Amino acid sequence: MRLPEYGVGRRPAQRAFIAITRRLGAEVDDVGKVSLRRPGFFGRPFLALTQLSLRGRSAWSVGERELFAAVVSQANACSFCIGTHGAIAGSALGRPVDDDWRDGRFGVRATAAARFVDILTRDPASVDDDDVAAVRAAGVDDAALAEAVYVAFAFNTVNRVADALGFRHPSEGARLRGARFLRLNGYRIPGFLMR
Amino acid sequence: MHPGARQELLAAAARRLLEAVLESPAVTPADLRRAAFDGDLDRHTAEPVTSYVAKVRDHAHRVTDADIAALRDDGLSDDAIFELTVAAALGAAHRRLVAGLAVLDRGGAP
Repeated sequence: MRLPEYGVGRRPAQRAFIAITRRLGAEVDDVGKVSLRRPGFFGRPFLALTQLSLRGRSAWSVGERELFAAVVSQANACSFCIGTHGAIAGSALGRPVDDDWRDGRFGVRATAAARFVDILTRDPASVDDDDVAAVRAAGVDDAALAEAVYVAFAFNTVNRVADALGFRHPSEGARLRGARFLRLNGYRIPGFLMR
Repeated sequence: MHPGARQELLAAAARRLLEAVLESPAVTPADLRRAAFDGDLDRHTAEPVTSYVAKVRDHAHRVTDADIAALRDDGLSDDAIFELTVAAALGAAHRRLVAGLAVLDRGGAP
């Protein structure tokens, strides 16, 4: 973390929360820490969007939406976010998210939508009607594709913040425990900590 | 829940994030955050901030410790660096949100 003050919490309750999660072996990650540090400016609205887009009711399963998050993270070369969301998608969908994710292992619909957010992330100016037609041909309606676009919005934001500020997983074990925790519990932090 | 209602919820959540980053009281002036969001900083500030913001928007994975050190040497606090980083990142993401939703609208209903 390139902003050391942002890694430790601002208020005593936040510092205690970080210490407790560390002792439990599932330390709140750097996205959680900067959210605690700047709850009004960033944390509350960002985590609300993330929770809604990745865990709210949807045309997509949790695993499929985590796949979109991982694909966007891969397009942005954000190893921190790939490490978390690739692991969540892989465990939820029962297949690994690697460089060959386009090979059909995630089904026609999810693969088509993932291709769309991949292109949108790499070259937004190039996205056109043909890209949308390809997704529709796979059986994805526009409302479902719009949901994937909002996942891409959240992750195009956080990928850049994570890479610019040097977010890291403290260890492989912590990365995998964190992914398991987020798969089960989502992206909420108790409100009294987010003031 | 109707798909349209769900999309309205997502749009409202996105709006709240944009308002927080671009309009809430913070260390950096709102017009500077807006310029970082728009990727149009030349009239508002100079190096090393302009290069840093461009890097965050276009290839954030290439940001180095030296880039952050240069911002500190230029007098920016950690809070200011955080705010400009988030504004730049959100701007690049918003460009993709707008592009993705626009092509859906243009294509009409399936």
